[in-house]
This record gives sequence, C-alpha cells and structure tokens, in this order.
Amino acid sequence: MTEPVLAIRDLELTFGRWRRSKVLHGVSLHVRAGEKVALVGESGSGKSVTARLAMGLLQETGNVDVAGSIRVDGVEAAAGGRQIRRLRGRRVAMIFQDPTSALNPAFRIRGQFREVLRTAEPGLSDREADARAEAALAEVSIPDPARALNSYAFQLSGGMNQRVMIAMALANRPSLLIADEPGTALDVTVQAQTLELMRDLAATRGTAVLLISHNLGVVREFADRVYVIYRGRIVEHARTAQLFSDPRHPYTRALLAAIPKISGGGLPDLPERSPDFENPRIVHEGCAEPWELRP
Amino acid sequence: MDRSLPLARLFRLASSKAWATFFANPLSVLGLIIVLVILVLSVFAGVLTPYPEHVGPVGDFSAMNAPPDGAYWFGTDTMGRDLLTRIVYGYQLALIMAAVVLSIATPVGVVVGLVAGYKGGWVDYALMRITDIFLAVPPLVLAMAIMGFLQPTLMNGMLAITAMWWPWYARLVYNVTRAETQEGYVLAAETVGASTAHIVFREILPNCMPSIVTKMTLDVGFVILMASSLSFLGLGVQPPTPDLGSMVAEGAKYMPSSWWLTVWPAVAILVVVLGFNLLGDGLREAFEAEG
Amino acid sequence: MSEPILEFDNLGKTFEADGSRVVALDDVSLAFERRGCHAIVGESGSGKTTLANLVLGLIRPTGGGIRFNGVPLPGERGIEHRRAIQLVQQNPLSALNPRRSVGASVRLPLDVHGIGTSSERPARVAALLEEVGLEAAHARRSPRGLSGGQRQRVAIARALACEPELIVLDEPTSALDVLVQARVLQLLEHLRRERGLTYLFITHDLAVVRAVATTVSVFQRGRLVESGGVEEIFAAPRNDYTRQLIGAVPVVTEAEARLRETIRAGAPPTPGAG
Repeated sequence: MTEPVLAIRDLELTFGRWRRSKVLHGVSLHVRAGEKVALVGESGSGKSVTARLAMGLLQETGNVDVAGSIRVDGVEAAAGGRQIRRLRGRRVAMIFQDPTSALNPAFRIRGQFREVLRTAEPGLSDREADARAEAALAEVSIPDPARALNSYAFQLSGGMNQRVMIAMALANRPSLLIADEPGTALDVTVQAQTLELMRDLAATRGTAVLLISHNLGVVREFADRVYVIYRGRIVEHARTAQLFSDPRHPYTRALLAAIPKISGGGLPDLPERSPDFENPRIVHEGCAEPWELRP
Repeated sequence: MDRSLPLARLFRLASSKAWATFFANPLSVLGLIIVLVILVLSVFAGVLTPYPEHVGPVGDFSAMNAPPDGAYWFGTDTMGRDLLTRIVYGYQLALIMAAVVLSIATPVGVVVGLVAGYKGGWVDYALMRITDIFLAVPPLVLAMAIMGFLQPTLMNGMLAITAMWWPWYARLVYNVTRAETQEGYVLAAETVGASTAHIVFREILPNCMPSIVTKMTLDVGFVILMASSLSFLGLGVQPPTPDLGSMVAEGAKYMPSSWWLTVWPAVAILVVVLGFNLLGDGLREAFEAEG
Repeated sequence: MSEPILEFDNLGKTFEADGSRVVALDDVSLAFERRGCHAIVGESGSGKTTLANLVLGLIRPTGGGIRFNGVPLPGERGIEHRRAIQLVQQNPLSALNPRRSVGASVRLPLDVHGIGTSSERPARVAALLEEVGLEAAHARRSPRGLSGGQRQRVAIARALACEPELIVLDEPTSALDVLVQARVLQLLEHLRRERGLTYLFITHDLAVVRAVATTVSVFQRGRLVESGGVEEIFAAPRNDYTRQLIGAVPVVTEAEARLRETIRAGAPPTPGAG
C-alpha cells in the first residue's frame, strides 16, 4: 500500500514556557488519498491544535513543544519550517469555521484568488489566473463566477463565501484538505452543501480530507473512518458504520447518548466527566495504523 | 458584598496571571522601582534631603555655583542652593501637580465618555463633538493661550493642563464603552431592569479601569513633561518654588561651564517620565495577558 | 384551557434605515400556554431574534402587539414586566461581567427589585446557585475561572433570581459541548417543572427542539410557516420548509435516519419509526 497523505504518529504537544500544559498525549492518525476521515471531539480535546500542527501553523508561534512525527505528503512537518510552509496552499489546504472572517474584507475576491494561485505558480499572468479562478468557482457551483470575482466578501452570502473559500483551497489541487468545523458558523442547509461539495471532491479528485468536528451527526454522514479524541488522546478508532452501530468506548457511548434525537426520547442522565472516559484506546477490526501492522 | 471601590475590586479580580506577566518583565519592575523611589523621596522630602531650608530663595552664599562634591552631591545653583534638595522638592511639586490634574481631568473625561458611549444618539453626538473641539487644539497652544491671559501661577498652570487633558480620557473611555455595550452582560443588566447609573458605573466602568489605570500611569509622566515645558517657557511655576522645568531653563544660561545646573534637572525629568512610562507599559501588558 | 401567558396579535416589525426597509417580522399571531416550552425555530434572517427582542421589550413593534398575561406589552407595569420576563443568552462568557463576581451578578436582580432584605440576599444567592447545581462558594469566584456549562448555570441562576414567569432562552446550549448541553437542558427541564416556568426557546437545532419543547413554531424570512405540538410536527410536518429543516438535521441513529427519509419524502411516517 502507498504511504498515507497524512500520517501523524505519537504526536505530543506542550504549551507554555513556565507553566507548561500538555494538550496532546500521543495522537496517531492517518488519511489516505481519496479518503474522508473525521477527528471528532469536544472543545479543548486537542482536535483543532492537531489540525494546526499538521498545517505547520502552530509551530510558527513559538512557545510550543512538539514531539512525535507528522508526515504530510512525504514531508516531515512536526518541527515546522520552510518545507511544510512551501506545501501550504499548494499541496495542503485548510478551510475554516467562518469563511467571511477568513477572507480579507478590504480586497475583491479577484485579487485574493490571484494571490492564492501564485503561491503555486509565481509567474502566472493576470488573465491566466482569472481564467483558472473562474473555472474553480464554476466547479463549486457558483452561478456567475465573473461577478463573484469582482465582489468583496461582505457582498456575498455566507454560503457563497464558503464556496469561494473552498474553491480557493482547492484551486491548486492539494492532495490534503483539512476542514476545521466547516460552516458551523452558518446555517444547517449551507453546512450540508459544504459537506456535499467536499464529498464530491474526495471522490472525483482523490483528495484526502480530514474533517475536524464536534458534531457526530455531521461525521456520520460525511466520513469513511472516525477518530474520537478526548482530552488529548484518541479513545476510539473505527469505520463510520462500526462506530455508530457498535460504539465501544465509554466516552463515545456517552457522546452518542447525549445527542438529542429527532426521533424523540428524553435526555439520559450522564455525567459531564467520568474516569471511564479516560479508558485506553479502542481500535475496531481492520483499523490499525499502517505502521502498527508491520512487526 | 459589592460595596468596595472599583479600583479595589479591579485588583482583587485581576488574575494572578496578570501579575505574573508584570513581574516577568524586568523593565516593568524597573519602572515600578523608579516610581516607588520617587514617591518615597517626595513624601519624605523634609527628612531625606540634606538641605531642606534651600527650598526658599536663600542658600549657602559661601558655596555659590559649586560643582558636585561631597557636601553638595549635585552641586549648587547661583544662589548657593543644594541642587539635589531642589530636585527632590521639584519632584514633590511635579507629583502634586500631576495628581491634581489627573484627579480632575480623569473623572470628567470618564463620565463624559461613559455617558456618550452608553447612551448613544444625540447625547453621544453632542458630548463627543465638544470633546473633538478640545482635541483639535494643540495642547501646548491651548495651555499657553490660557496662561497668556491668566496670571502665571501654580493654580492656573494646573487649570490650563487640566482643560486640555480631560478630552483624551473622554475619547478613550468612549471607545471602550462602545465596545463593552455590545457585550451580553450589559444586555443582561438591562433585561434584569438595572438603572442606567448601575449599568454605567458598576458594570461598564470596572471594565474600563484597566485602560484608565494604564493611561493615568503613563500620563503622570506626560503631565510632568507638560508642566516642565510651560515652566521652561516661563509660563508655569514662578521662583523661588523649585520646579524642574524652570531649573532647566535657568541653568541653560550657564551652559556649558556650570553644566550641573541643567543636566541634573533634565535627567530628573527624564527619569520620572521614563519610570511612569515603563510602569504604564508593564500594566498594559499585564492587563492584556489577563484577556 | 387557561389563559395564554403570551400572545402575539398580528405582530410585525419593520426596520427602516437610510431609505431601505427590512421586514423582520410580518403579521405573526400566536398564543403560548403557561408552563410550556415553546420552541421558535428558523435559520438566520428568519426573524426569531427580532421576536425575542420584542418580547423582552428591547424594541417596539411597528405593527400589532404583544400581550403578557392578557396585558399589552410594554405596559404601565414596566418594571413588573421586566422582572417577570427574563433572558438567558447564547454566549455565557459574554453574558457575565468578567470584573464582577458570580455572586454580584446573581445578586443584581435581588437589589434591583428589592427581593428580600439586604441581609437575606447572600443566603438567597447561595440558594439560587445550589438550585442550578453549583455550590454556594462559587459566589466569590470570577466567571473567568468557570467552565462554559458553569457559566451558563450562573446566567440561569441570575434569571431565576428575578422570580420570572417567562424565560426567553436564546440558543442557550449551542455554544456548549454535547455532554454539557445534555446536563443544562435537563436542568432547564427540571426548573420548568419545579417552578412552573414558561420558556420561549429560540434555536436552530431541531433535535434539541424534539428533546425539550412542547410546541414548535417555524419561521422563515419573518413569516410563521408552521406551528403546533412537537409530537405532531415531527410526526407529520405539513410545510415544505419545515420538512427541509428536519431533513437537514445530521443524525446519529438508524431510527432517526429512517424518520428523516420519510419526512424528506413528504409521506406520513409508518408507526413505530420513531
């Protein structure tokens, strides 16, 4: 089997110089080309910092201590540095919670799009860049790409901005797309459209997608495989069908029980925290990490 | 349970993280030390200075214009008065002036800013346009204009500086208030039925305190600088009261031979302004760390 | 049937600024039973926030009116309404003053409305904190040191301090984690029963509506499109938009997925699908 596009192994992260606080205690996960994998957890579980480490963003702030390995598209990214920075925007892209705040309100979409395309191809002409931008916007079903390029972010709806963000993220045909709670700042219907779009892209282009989410419902509909993270540790790893039909870790079970259901039934009496939630990791059949398979 | 002064509550509720940040920065600590030393010197000037009698017009006629030595560490002026003593008393006067100016300018500015920021509408418009008019006049020019048709006395000097200082507090507090008014706790107080006075002074004001305290600390230095500038121009405190600005101006006539007459008072101004600036920056950093 | 606690009569609100008009709420008539948990559902721009602001008396209607206990709002009994209708906001961090202690925030309504004597109030604050599942000692803490769930409990205690009849819950759990959300929803449910409260529950989360609400009113672009008992609407939504909203909810169980399919298809679900 080929190497996964993203392979995170025994990742540990500690913040702070004086008062050190450890937020990741050995996280391992992988995503292969064309695969849709979800990392699901509550706020403070370490899911977003994992994404930021994989993008090489957190390492740049200093003040962090990283151990373990992150291989992105064959490049070691745990220490950050120039190599991973060069991948960013080209081989690796990220989309965020609130698309409107991720776009610069002072510039038209056109200029921002050109800049994105030029990170991959510095000498690209304006005309060529605009042609590619229009094609990219058409691909995410934006009805009038030329008009969208001439707009400012605030002139477009939340759903349109989300599409523009995705078009930008995918313009350079990345091999890995990391989506951190995409569209949770938007309405349910827009969120559903965003996921639909990402699903298509994984299927047609073989992009590896890592979805960071707190919403198990979204995960169930989107992902092929799921990692459940709790307080800096992966507690359960399974194929999506396995996880939802047969959740085994006490934490996963509690989460699933606590979610209100449209089919009714009251809310169960569950603790917000429990020592059981810290039980060791449970890996379902056929879900071992690639390096664990070899002796 | 909630009757203490906003300032006391500010310090109680300021997290230990804020203080840790403050003391982690050596420059902030240096600022604090300078300010404390100057405060102690000013308060106990009568005991700590070698020649407290030299505050008046008369000095030691046997040692006029003497360079620094063992008896007069900073030298003496043309009247034979100890420069060190006069600088310490200059500090005392400068601090009193700063305290008086800020204790008038700050409350006026704070109330204007709070009311305009919270009430909005025509109240906002009227109050902030008046503030803008004051802000549009260069401060030194305004002070000189006031001093020009009033007697150049200590009281008028403080009046002039106060008149040009309050609008900065109005502007600062206005901006903070505008932002805080959007916060949920203001809406919560409104839905509970709290009075405007309660919302403005007990809910919003405590959240303005970090900005106000920081600005006041920085401003002590600037007020001293401004007062010294007026004195230097002959518009401030009149002799024989020891004033740092007048001492620099007076000493400048004897440069470079009697350098100590100018250099020590100038250094004294530099040190006090630097001290309050370092302290103010340290406080700002600490409050920001608190988040 | 008893008199409704809250009634909207052809309620409308139009915002006008710089010559442009936005109809935020258009001709809404509804009545809410006492002791119910009434969900107001819609996406952004549906007018649900405008509705909350109208009920709280923060803005005035431009058409029709609101009656609370049969009395038009806002009435001469202004301060009395202020006490009787309370609010719990979405973001519990912003809703508590970071520079006032938890106790001071909960005590404020007692001082404003003269509830109890001055010397009794600390004990009342302690009792309120315990009622929402916190400890009396939390009164001296700063909200900074509390978790999101604890902060929301403080906000609930503050609303209860007013001894309200109606509480407007504006997305009270959407900023919270799932396990915390479940606990807070349980607390709200318990308080409603114990204290005979009425809730106006503003939310976009239909699964939460199904779990806690007794009635639901669906809004789309300022108009009421469907209203009724929760059981009936989730069993057979009549309006296309309601079907669309329920059909877009991400679900986690097979039973839910089946129910959602039948709702998307528009046919009444087979019995037992829930």
